[in-house]
Amino acid sequence: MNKLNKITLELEKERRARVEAENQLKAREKELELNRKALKEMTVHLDILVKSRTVDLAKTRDEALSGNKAKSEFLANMSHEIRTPLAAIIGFSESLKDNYLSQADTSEAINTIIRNSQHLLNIINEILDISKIESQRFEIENVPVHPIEILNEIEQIVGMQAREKGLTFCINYSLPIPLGIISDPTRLKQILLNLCSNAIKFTHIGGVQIDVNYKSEDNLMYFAVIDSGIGIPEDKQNKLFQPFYQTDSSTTRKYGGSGLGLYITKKLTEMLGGTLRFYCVQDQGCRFEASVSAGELDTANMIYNETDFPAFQSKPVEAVSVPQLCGRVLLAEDWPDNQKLIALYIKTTGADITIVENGRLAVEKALAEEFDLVLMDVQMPVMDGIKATELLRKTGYSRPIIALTASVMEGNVQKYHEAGFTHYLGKPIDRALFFDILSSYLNPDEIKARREYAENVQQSCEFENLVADFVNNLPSVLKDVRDSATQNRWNDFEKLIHVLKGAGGSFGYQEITNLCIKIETLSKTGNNHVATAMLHELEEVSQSIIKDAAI
Amino acid sequence: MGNKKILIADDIDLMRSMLSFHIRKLGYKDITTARNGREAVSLYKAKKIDIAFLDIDMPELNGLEALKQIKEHNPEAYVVIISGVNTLENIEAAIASGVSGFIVKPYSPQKVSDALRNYERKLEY
Repeated sequence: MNKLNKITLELEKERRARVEAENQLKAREKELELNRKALKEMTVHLDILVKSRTVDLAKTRDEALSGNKAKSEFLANMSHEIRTPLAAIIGFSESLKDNYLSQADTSEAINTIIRNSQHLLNIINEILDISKIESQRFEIENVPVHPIEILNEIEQIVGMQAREKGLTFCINYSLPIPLGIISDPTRLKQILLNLCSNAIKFTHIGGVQIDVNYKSEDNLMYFAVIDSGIGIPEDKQNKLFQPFYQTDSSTTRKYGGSGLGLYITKKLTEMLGGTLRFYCVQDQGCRFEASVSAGELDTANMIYNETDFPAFQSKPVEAVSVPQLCGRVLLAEDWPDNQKLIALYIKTTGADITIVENGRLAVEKALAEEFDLVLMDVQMPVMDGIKATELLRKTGYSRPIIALTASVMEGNVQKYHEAGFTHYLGKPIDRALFFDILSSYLNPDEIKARREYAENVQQSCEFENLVADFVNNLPSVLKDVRDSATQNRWNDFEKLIHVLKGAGGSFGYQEITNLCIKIETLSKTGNNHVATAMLHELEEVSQSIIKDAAI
Repeated sequence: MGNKKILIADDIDLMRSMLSFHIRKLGYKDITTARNGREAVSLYKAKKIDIAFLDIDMPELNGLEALKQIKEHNPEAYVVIISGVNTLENIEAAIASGVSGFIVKPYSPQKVSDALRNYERKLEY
């Protein structure tokens, strides 16, 4: 019995254990099921994530590709754009070499060359603008601006272009408008010129007009440029403000332009606190409306009546006048054509010019001779203009040094000042600006004062006494030189010639210095015999100096 | 101007006289002369010189060595090196030794007066 009880208890125990185990198993199963569910959810999520990332990546890739494509297309267009004016410049320049061109053809060829060069410069300026906009280095001025004065100037430029093409051009004012606003005159003019020249370019019949008005609600000036041109197809309109974009590449071929103008214009209006909107119908024309902030307005100065328009003097196109100057200019420039051009400009002023072709020679020349002004190209082989200017300033060089540079971006201008440049001039050189700078740094009074001081010093009694000592000493120095040469004491020979080189000019005998430079160079390069042969010349020159002094 | 102490070091007598003449012409009266670099350094230390003109090519101690020793003695020293050679290597060596001015011979009234005017201008800052 006891045994049976014992077995029953055992059994019962085992059964409980099994139930327990079964329960545990069920719990585990449940847990497992939950885990599996979570895993499935995660897989799905991951899947979605991967898919969305893939889409993102594809989009980025597509954008990059299309950006790349736009840039490649832009470059292709650009090279075409640059080639076209260049072809005209080269072609007409070559034709100028032929003598059979009539006077009229010659002047036409020159005008074509100038026009195409200006066009080339515009393209390059647009590219520079873009790079400034993209790197956010564009500076906007906030100064008083007279919208009517700006529009008068636009009318002078654009009106002529329109009339040449047989188009009408007019400006309509919706009064009242403010007499003056606070804005950036250069940029405002650039916006209007861009829009107007586009309008004229794409219009063949009819005309172009600018509607001007002011809204006090938003304090914006509105300039709407309206044309009766070919318009823009609807499907191309959304891409209009993309940089590097033109409606199609044939547009470039037919109408020219870099495809940058509208992009720049839009960015400029935004920087001036406004927007650029447009409304176009294909074959019927376009309306581009630029708005710019009027800034803090003096509301008392509103124009209500056209008779109240102020009379702004129209600026005549100035003929560049050549100033009459004197002085010595050192030009460091490696490009032979630029050397010739600048030399031509300087010679027409009456000043003298000395040319070297790199920074190293500029440093050496500037210190050895006396110049009144240094013009220093920034990019040169061997040593660039910045390094050369830094070195000159470190030796205490105090004459003005002007940088000639193709890159006048702000960061660079700062760099030029730090290097010790007095001023800078952008390339290609604007002739009027060049003469202005030349006149302000080649001050005739200062130069005359320096020359007079030198003359006075050299005419003083004391100077003459020193010169007499030098001349009296010359025969014995020359004998030492001759002896050292005949006795093959070349170290002594070189030393004596070197001293005489420094002394000659110091005592007013530059011809001795010049001869000694030649002899020293020969001797240093091992040509002792030629150097000795040249001694005759030195002795002859010295003899005549001694003879003159004796009189 | 007149009270500034000037030192001229050159081993060639006539050249020393010529430089001294140019400097006197500009109104400076207190001028000391040396015939070599060693003499120049000791005179500089002894006389509290304001401006030193050192020829680069001197016996015993050349101009650049003398310049270095003077700069060690007085880092603010205003020293003009005079050289018969205008090569870049010479100019750079002078700059590296702390030169304040560099005159390439032959002398001219203009070169000397520029060097002294630079000194006066530096004083004004």
